[in-house]
Amino acid sequence: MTSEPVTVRLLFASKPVWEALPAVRAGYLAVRAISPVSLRYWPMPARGNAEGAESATGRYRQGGAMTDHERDVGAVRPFPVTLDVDRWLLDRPLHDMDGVASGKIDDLEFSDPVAGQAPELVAVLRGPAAVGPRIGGRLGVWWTAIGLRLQTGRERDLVSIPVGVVAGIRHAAVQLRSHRQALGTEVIADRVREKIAHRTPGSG
Amino acid sequence: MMRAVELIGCEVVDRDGARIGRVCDLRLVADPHTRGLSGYHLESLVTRTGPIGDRLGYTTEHTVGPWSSAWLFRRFGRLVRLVPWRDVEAVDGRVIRLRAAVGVPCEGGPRQ
Repeated sequence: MTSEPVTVRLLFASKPVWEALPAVRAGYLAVRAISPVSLRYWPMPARGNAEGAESATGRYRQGGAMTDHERDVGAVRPFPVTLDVDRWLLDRPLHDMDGVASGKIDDLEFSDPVAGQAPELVAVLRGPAAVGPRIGGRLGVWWTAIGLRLQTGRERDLVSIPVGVVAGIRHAAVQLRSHRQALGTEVIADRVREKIAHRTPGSG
Repeated sequence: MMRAVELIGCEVVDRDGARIGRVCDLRLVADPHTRGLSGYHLESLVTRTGPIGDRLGYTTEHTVGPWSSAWLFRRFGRLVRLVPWRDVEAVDGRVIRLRAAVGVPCEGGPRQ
């Protein structure tokens, strides 16, 4: 007989151990299910090859096609009817209509409260003048002052983006319907580029 | 115009001066047919009394986590209350005064 021992086959096989011993996989899943430790620390044992071909990334790398669900994830989704601003809006990245990052949402602006009427969301704000009050204290004042010095005198106000320009959520970012140049969200980046980066020797 | 930063972090007291909590979030509601962010209005203030409250996200309805941690932080989440905006009498600096006696426990409306 020339058959190799079972232990050698388990050690050197290209397949995971639980394919040879289904009871090991079942036991692992049972322990994983009742463990108080977060599930993300318990990797799900993949079936098939050990290189993660079942995941979307693994399949794309191997030339596989995108499923309908994975294609939909890239679409612009509407906001829920009821939303909490801390979870859905504040500190979310903003992407313009070309998908270029245009900063983050630093604050929100509401209409003035009128008796009997709830304030309406009017605009999303960004820029140091919006972040400073959120930080608070001396650090917040300092942050606002530095940001204002980097801006031109004409554009010292907050960058206010009307809510009508906001399209929805895409890839965990807030998608806009305009170009970032039209919204003025790149005032500080342009100022730093003009005053510092372009004057640095070797910048071209 | 009123900014969100002017409300978040404010102390909320009821008509008798009793402390309800501190504003940790704002809840907005829109018409079902609205597009983008147009048409959203401030529906209620989310307040909490403890230092943790729902900061770790275990009071959101979609959160999946280990049962032991989820149970513990849901108990912290009981300290979170929703205060309807219609009950707000005035915003005096960093203090929001209500015309009602007390806010609604957030358990009736899970975080969105």
